[in-house]
Amino acid sequence: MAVTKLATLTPSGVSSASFSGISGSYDDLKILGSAHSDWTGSWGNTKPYQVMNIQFNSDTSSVYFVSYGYADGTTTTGVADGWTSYTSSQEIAVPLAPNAYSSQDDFSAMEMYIPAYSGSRQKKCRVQGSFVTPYASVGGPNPVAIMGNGGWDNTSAITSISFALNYGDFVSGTSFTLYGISNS
Amino acid sequence: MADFEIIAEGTLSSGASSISLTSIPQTYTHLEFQLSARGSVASSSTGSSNMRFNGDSGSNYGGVDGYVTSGTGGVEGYSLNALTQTYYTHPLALDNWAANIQGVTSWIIPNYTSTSFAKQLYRTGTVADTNSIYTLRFGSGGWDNTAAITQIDILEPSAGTEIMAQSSYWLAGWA
Repeated sequence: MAVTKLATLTPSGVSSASFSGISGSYDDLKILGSAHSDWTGSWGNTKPYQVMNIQFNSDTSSVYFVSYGYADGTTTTGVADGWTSYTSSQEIAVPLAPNAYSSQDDFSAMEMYIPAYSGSRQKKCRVQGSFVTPYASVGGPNPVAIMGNGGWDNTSAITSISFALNYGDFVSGTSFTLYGISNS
Repeated sequence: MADFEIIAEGTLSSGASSISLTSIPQTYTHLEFQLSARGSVASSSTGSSNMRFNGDSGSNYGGVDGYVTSGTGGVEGYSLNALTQTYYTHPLALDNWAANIQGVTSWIIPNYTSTSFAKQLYRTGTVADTNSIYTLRFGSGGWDNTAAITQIDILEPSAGTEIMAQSSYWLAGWA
């Protein structure tokens, strides 16, 4: 296996960021990253963290799907687990950006792997990540972990990948690193 | 420097109460770690080994964990500052289980050299025995400290026990 670091994004004060011009000369892509939102409110399901929406090749049509298992909470505030699944979505949406609260230094840890990103099949990816915050003392969100998969019902080679928040902007310290993986 | 490098690796020739990875180079962006291990504990439940960073034994850790164990799903979690070590980081096979079985865990720590932000890790782990003990766990770990990570200690499964011989590990850096 050979690894090539292709690019790094460090968005701050903006709600989205993109890798573009991705070469098709590797076998797989891997992204390691960390994110935080400056939003102070909730999103649709009242959770105090933001969904990060992932799209390929700037395609905003309803051709994405995602499913993930999640763990949410602490033994003192109540815990929940379950499964979330979306089909015919306009993006791969994963809850991996904790909101703004009095401590701004708690980011998520995120990993994404896209095999055969330049091949002629429908594109699939594994996406997973988590964050832990001092909920009780400063009002941050519960710790959350997800493990899931996403897909883009398109046979085009992936040449760009974007990350966008539902609400708010990425804060300084957010980063995404893109690697090309060669299997030979 | 290559864009992916093994920083440290090893196989225990005898049982050890901990594995210490010291003087971690500060020249990478992210860390990835993998452990295949067995604990010297007798139990019908899955074992666990946790971690500390930079020798910090204060109440500065937390984590949440989703799991499926022998057919039952669940979740456990602790806020940051609730624990003195990470939570359920490495599922382990145990000494009274079938021979030669080890638990396997992989985790990442993004931006481990940052001096501005608390450290987070994400990990997945699994172990399966021959007598219907099996688990798949995914979860988080947090260390509420903005220091760059220079040392990682993999701790004993429980007081007085060991990570058993032939357990192996590697730590890698991503540029």
